[in-house]
Amino acid sequence: MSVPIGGGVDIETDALTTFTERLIGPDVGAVGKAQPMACGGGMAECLTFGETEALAFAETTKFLTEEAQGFDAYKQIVAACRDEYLDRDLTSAAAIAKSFDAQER
Amino acid sequence: MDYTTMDIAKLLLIATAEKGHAARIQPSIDRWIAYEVELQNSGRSLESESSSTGSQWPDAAGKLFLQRANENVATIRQKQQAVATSNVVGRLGLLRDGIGTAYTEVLDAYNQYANQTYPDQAAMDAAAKQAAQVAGGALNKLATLFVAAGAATNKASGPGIVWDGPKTGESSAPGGPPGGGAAPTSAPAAAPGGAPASAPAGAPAGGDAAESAGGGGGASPAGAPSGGAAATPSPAGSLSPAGPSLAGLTAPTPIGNLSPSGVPISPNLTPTPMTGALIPPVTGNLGTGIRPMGGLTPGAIRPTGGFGSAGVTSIPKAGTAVAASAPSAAGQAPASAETTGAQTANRPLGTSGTTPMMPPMAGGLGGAGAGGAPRAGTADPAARRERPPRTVPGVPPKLRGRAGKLDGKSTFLTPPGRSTPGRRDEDSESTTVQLLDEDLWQVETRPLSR
Repeated sequence: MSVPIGGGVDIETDALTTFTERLIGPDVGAVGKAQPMACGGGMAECLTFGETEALAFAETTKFLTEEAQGFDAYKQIVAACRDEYLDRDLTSAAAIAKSFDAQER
Repeated sequence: MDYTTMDIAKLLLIATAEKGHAARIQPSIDRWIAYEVELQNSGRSLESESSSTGSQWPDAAGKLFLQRANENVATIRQKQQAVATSNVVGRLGLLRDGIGTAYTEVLDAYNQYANQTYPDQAAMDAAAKQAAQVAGGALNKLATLFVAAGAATNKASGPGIVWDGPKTGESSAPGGPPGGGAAPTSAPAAAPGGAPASAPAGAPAGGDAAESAGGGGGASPAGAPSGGAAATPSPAGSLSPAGPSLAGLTAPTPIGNLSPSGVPISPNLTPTPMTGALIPPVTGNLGTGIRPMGGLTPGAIRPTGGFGSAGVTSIPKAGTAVAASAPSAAGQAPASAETTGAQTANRPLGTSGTTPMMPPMAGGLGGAGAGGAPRAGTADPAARRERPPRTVPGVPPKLRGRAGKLDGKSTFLTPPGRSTPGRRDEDSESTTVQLLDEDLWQVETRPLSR
């Protein structure tokens, strides 16, 4: 994993929590009701349109699904980042405290 | 397809069928509208939230996060723009209306044709053809609406514009613990161990503490949420605190690592050079007595081979000679030590691969003054025959040295008191005890006496 490093660590972890709470992804169900055109007994152009529409529906549904998953992933990533920051901070603090305790002894 | 060439009755059937299909267009329109709304709302949400968060997350991880979020917002926007520019909703509306219009026109044309009476078949056929022209024209127009709606639909779907952001499968796997539930449990868990330093649990203080303690370590925690590979902003690389601080406190120096590599034991230093390099080849400068006693330096090699030149003047005393004649001679009869000495002297020559000749240096060690240069055949029976037939009781010939040769010059071993020939006669006519003692020692000379 390559992560550019520079400028040190600077984070407002509450902002990460806010992000996870307020980010709203797409509702895939909002587009799941429509059905592509069915052109039985109709015009040839209708049949072609129906095929195109079916593909378009699939494409858009796929995108929205991936986007929604991506938003969930965003939330998980940001939450994990927040936890990582906090955990590292506490771990470092504990290590520092432990080192001072060891020196006093 | 040109519908004007078709029968008016069939055109009516087609138009009727299409009218029944029109009911699906409105849901499709609603779908596209909802789709666009979802794109718009989600894009705005990601844009606004990421922007707000990024402003409070200015480190490298936050910048990467904002960069990736903006890229994904752009993708969503492209998808939304595809819907807007395609005018799929408008095209579908035209199609919906066009189906009804076409149906009405076809129906009107048919009714106009069907509700009239024709004087003859030809008039009726002409009227039918005219009706077909009208109805067919309406369906031809509807066909164009289908084509246009199809093109718009295809364009609205935004083919080629794919989601390039993180995915649930990618994010959860490397990230390990999902964010939601892990936060409240992991943070408190670390706090108790930290003793009094649990204060920096607060967000701002925590960030400062981490930054100050971390320095520029740049540790790479494995548990960092690297979901989406490069697409996932991870603070792992920038979370330096744990690396330097913990490394310096708990793992001072890997001493264990020094033992294997710190003491290089080269196989080249093992016995191979000891016998080949440290022992110089016998080129004639070393005496025959120098034995390559594996692993010893030349200085440590004793010239044991001096015994090979039996009877020479440099033979040490009996006690010393026995001790220096190597373990091979120990326990054997003293008389055989002479032979053993000769064999010992020859051994290095054979083993060193050189010719069995007396090197020049050997003369200085043990061969000088001898009747002849000691050779491999020095210990042959002829040489022993030159030994005195009469020996000193109790002293094996090998240990006598030059003094032991009774036919030689007198030395300190033959004091004046017992150096007379008469004394030797007495020795030859010794007492029983002396003879017994002599027999015990005279192993090789016994056949000669018999």
